[in-house]
Amino acid sequence: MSGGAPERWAVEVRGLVKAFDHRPVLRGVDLRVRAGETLAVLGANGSGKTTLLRLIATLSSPTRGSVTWFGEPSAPLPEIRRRIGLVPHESLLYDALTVEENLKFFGGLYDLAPERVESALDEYGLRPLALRRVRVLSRGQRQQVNLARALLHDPELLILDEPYTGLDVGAADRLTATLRASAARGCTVILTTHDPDGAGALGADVTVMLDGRLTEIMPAAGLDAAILAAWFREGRR
Amino acid sequence: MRVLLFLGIALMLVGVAWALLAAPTELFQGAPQRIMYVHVPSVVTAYVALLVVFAGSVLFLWRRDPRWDRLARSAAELGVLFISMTLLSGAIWGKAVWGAWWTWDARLTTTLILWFIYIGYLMVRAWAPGARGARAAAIIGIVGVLDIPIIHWSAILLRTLHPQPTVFRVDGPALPPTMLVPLVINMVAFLVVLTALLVLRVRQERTLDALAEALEGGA
Amino acid sequence: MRVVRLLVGKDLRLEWRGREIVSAMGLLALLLAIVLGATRSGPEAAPAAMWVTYAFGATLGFTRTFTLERDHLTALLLAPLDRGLIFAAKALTNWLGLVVVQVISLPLFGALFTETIWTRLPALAIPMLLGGVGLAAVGTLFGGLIVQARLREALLPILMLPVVLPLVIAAVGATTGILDGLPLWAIGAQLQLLLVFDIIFVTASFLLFEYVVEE
Repeated sequence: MSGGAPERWAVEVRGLVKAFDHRPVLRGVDLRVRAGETLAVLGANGSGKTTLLRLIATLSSPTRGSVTWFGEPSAPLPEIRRRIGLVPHESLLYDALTVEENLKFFGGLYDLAPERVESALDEYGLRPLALRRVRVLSRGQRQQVNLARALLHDPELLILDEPYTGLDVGAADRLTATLRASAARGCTVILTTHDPDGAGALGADVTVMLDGRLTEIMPAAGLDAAILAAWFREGRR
Repeated sequence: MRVLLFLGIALMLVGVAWALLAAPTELFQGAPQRIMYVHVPSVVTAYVALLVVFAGSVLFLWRRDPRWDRLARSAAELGVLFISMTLLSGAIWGKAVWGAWWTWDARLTTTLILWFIYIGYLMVRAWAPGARGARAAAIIGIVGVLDIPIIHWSAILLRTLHPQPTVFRVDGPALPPTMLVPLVINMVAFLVVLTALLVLRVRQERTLDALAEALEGGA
Repeated sequence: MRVVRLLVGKDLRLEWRGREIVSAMGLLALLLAIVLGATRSGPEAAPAAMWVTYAFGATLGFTRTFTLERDHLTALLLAPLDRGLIFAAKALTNWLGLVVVQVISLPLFGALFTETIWTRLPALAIPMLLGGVGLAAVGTLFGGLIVQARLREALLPILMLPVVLPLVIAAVGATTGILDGLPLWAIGAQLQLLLVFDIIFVTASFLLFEYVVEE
């Protein structure tokens, strides 16, 4: 973003430290994500990516450091939560309810009109599945419903934890298309992934979690050999 | 610190010696009544410890400072210890004077139930370690103290046999000075020992936490 | 209120589809009634048997409701809701479950212990409702507290029973009085205690619940 216009940050993370029972997982993360940007966080398993996402999603509070959302340091948390959508690694759907019942319930939590659920069913291609119970859906279908759940209230910030894991090619392409469409609407997207090429396909910039800290943000193509080597080293540890 | 502990133990020796050797024998109950000099200080100390648990728990939830959690946890251990002493000394005294180890009296029942609640507190600490366990325990610590008046009230609905308070009363103690002096000495001694042990435990926990941090956080 | 209705409605629908909790709680309650009745079945044993049954039924059911919600709690915490509402909804669901248990076990107490239950039903409803609310409040708070703990099925009764003992004492006292044919004013103290217990623990749990679910 060039020019003199002030930058709008969807998320600003400063000096973030998160420890679980004295074991620091994040050791001083600094991150600023521009509004409307798509950012992929790469890193080994257990490197702290999920912890970072939970902090950005307001589900967890920092041991030290701060997270500011939408450039409004004093906004109350419920207001911020209303503007965030999260797709965690685990499904948040109720297996015993149908797709439609699930979406109606989650829409209700955000006080959305029932028509919004109807339009979301069409928008995300879920109409044929509407009356099926979530229990009988495939992993890809379930992911699609989870995504619809997270996008139901038109969040300004969408956070996804390893959304591509376990998806077949078709489902992965559908996911990419949905994420690109959201980004095109101005939604900021932050996701974690193992796959730098996938991040490239999304048009995302990337940053790598190494030793509890994040590298500079760079284009997916700009990942150099040294960073990749460090990342794989950490993965083996 | 060490000074406190020695002071407490010295005071306790004086108090117990006084109680056993110098204090007069009570007219109706005879020698077993001397258990009072341990029993009453134990129960007072136990309740003081539980109030510390309560204060530490509230401050921990509010301030999220692990120091308060260490204080509450250490006080809970000591609270259970002193409640146990109260129950044991009370049972022996009761057997000697009432002819029964136990009776469903309001104060006895309250103390016994508190013992269970704070054993539960310690179990949560053991089974749910870490930050989550600390918060869970803090809530139990708060709920336990909130429950004290209600337990007491409910136990009154059962019935009451225990002697009425003889020391803490609005119109002054009902004990003769010859008995009051050793009792007060012991009470002070118990509270000093509580403070000393509390400081010790909190320090141990702090060292343990620092150690864990150094071990886990290094690298 | 709208949110509480939404959450409770969801819980009831889930329970209706699975019927896991009510069937487990109900079956345990029936078994307890039979075991207690087989050992001592005079009318004078009825109040204690009833409240032991309700308390144990509650500890079984209330661990389950939160275990079922565990994976979905993230979604509730993510929504712009006050945490107190999540507690209120869960406590309400738990209480409804307990009411079902109370209702389905009544015929058994009537048959095994004393038929007076049927003639004194309206009066009996008062301690049953007041006692049920207190059990649900404490059970929901503690149930939420230990979802993540090891051995939670054992831990809930250990934590909950001592705290609710005053409630059980008062409820048994009130129930005894009612079955003995006393007028309600004669058990005023017991009912008062139940009411105070409910007020204190509903309020405290509502306020403390935020700390239960935070990370």
